[in-house]
Amino acid sequence: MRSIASLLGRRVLQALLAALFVSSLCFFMVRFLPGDIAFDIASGRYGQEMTTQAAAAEVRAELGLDKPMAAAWLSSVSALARFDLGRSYTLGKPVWGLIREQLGHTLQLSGLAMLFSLLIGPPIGIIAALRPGGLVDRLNLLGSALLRALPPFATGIILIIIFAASLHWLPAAGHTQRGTIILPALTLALGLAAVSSRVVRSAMIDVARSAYFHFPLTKGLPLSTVVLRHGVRNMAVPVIAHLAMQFVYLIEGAIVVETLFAWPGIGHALSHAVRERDIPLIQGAVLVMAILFVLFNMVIDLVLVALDPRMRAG
Amino acid sequence: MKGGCTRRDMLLGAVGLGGLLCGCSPGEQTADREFLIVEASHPTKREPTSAGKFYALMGIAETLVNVDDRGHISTGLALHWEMSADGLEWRFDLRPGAHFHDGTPVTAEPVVRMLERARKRPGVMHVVPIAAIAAHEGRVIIRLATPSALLLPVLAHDSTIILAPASFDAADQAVQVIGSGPYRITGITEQEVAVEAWERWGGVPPAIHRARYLSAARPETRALLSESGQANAVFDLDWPSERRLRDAGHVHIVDIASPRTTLLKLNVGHPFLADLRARQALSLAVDRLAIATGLFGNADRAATQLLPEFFTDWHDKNLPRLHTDVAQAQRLLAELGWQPGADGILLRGDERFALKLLSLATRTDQPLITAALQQQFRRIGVEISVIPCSPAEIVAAHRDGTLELAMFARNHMMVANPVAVLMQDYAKGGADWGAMGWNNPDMIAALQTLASGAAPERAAALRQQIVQTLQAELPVIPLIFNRRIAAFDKRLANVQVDALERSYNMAAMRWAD
Repeated sequence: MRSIASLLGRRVLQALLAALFVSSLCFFMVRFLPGDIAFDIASGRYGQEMTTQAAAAEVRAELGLDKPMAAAWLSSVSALARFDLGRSYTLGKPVWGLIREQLGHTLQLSGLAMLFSLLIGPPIGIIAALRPGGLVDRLNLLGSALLRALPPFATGIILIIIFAASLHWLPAAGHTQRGTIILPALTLALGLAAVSSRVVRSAMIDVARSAYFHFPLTKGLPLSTVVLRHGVRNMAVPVIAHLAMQFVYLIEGAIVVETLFAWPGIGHALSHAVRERDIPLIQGAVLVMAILFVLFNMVIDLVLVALDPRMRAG
Repeated sequence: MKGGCTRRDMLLGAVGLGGLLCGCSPGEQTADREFLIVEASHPTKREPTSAGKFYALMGIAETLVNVDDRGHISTGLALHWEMSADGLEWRFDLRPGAHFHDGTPVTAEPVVRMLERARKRPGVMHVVPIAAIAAHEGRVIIRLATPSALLLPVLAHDSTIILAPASFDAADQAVQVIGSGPYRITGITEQEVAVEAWERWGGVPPAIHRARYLSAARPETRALLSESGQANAVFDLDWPSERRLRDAGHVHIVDIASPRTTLLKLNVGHPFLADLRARQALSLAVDRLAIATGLFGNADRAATQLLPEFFTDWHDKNLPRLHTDVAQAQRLLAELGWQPGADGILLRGDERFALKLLSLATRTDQPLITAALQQQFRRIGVEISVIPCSPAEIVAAHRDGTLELAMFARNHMMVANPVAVLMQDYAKGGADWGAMGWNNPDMIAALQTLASGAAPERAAALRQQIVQTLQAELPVIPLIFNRRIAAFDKRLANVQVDALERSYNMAAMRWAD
């Protein structure tokens, strides 16, 4: 129990440090971007043709952009300490409300992508591992290499062309029509499954070479039973540890995939916020992502502890 | 979009995801069919002075007066108006029976409130010398300090849309959009807006009852939404997408002239560009026809003067066309003392004819044009380095004087009279989206006379003077005339595309099947 408490304590401290670090980093990166921040915000508010010096002057006065940078940073950090994410510079709405809505869409998309990837990657990896060098293993290697080499943008376009434009089975983009989540989730899932199938394969090969896997086989248990009872749980430890890494891919991929599929998630909103230098929205979005990343790692740690008794002991 | 149980429905049912189960209907009626319209812009903002264009396009909000597709003023929320004999007072009568979507009547008070609100913010209202706006006996009264021909065009601008008072919170922040147009909002998210026909709309009831707008930032997504049949109308298509859709033949393509011109903004105060001959040489180096045909498949897009034929009053067919003559361009630069260096780039003493070109990173057509320009300018010994940027960087570079060249598309009918835009762009010393370091007092005087109002013959002469000055002095170099390209579902009838980007004309369309 003490080791679990210490693990949780470490992760909470990590989350607090991550919050301070990423929000400050975002603040300074956006402020040090070339060009005048007031013009970018005015462009976000009024559009290209209405971006004029008068509009920028109004923005500068309203948001106090002439204040010294150190004072502006301190004020932003103290607001965060009060859990006040502020209002979006360009939309005028409370950042927390915007993030809550967008994050919900992103989590929905990421969750389904993860589910699809678990349905695709591990079964293929297990089948490939049962006959290393066999046809399935070689096809898996080729498919993984291809899918990993393709950026999510290209995978998404290919899926839209096949399933929406040619077969008319699924909608091409959007988020309110029925089935719009499937293609963006599949785009992300294929990228995830490309790697997870190989991780599962390696883990499964290690398990298949072990004595505890061969013993029940020699007793006469069917292969499927042995895989399910002795294989899956043992190979799950490295595979679940790998899931934590995949969260990074999901965040990175979400920005591209949400834009391509017109999905109103946090990645898409973040790309707009960066372009319009909407500091409160960028800080809020990155902060939430960083905390989620820490939380996700914490959950993975707890699952690993539950799966592997050796970790509980030590 | 089709009746019965489609393969799409069956697949969704097979996937078995919550809420996505097969929803087969006995047969879809056109009255129930939802119209999906797709463009790039985001419906994220509620503030009318910045997001008014979207709400006007969707037929959700109206302006006091309107503009027809040729740019002529027509009725909007105001059915009649009159001007006092001295031209200083304008009186507007509102359309009887007009109601906002919350059921409140459209009276003079909310109209005055909205116009006053727009006046306090940056925007086009400032080009008109408005002294006061008031409500009097149900009429909207606008008093001017001096007569202005720009009042009606400015009142038609989408930043002056009229919303119900309930659209704003106590701090005057727009929290919802309650307009008075033929469609009212039924749902709004970051990227989609659902509307339905407003039953108290006073005009012809729309045949399309339900519609949805989807914002798709990528041109590839927009094209595939059209190709897949998911979207019924898709705007802002790029040329490769248009060609692909045209070849596929599933949709009806509309390609019309637009009032936008892609132009090269020059810093006329720059030592390399201050002499007119240098600007002429750059213009002569540009092969507009090659760009228009090679990159956009349409020779008519070569910009032979600043304003396209769309502006019948402002396009002078007798004006000598901007053309390509590399040898003449080289002679002009030689007259200015420029000589080719070892690598072919011109040198003058210690100076090398190298310039930075700011190009909008968000426009997919601009990298193609800048790549062509780099090669074409190199033929006359001018080196261009292209810097992708945001619109704000162009404005900021204009302000701090570091801008050398910039490329963007300018909508000269942003206000329904080009004088309003030209007055801003070619004022003394230039402006953000026009000239830079250029000054022509005669042209400014001509624009001011037109803004105040001039007799038709005098106005025509002044317009000709302005067009000729811009062609001769080249404070900016016109490159390409833009087009408004859209793809429509073939089941739609009465499809009309508004070149002025003021309306999707949804209320006028109907299902043909």
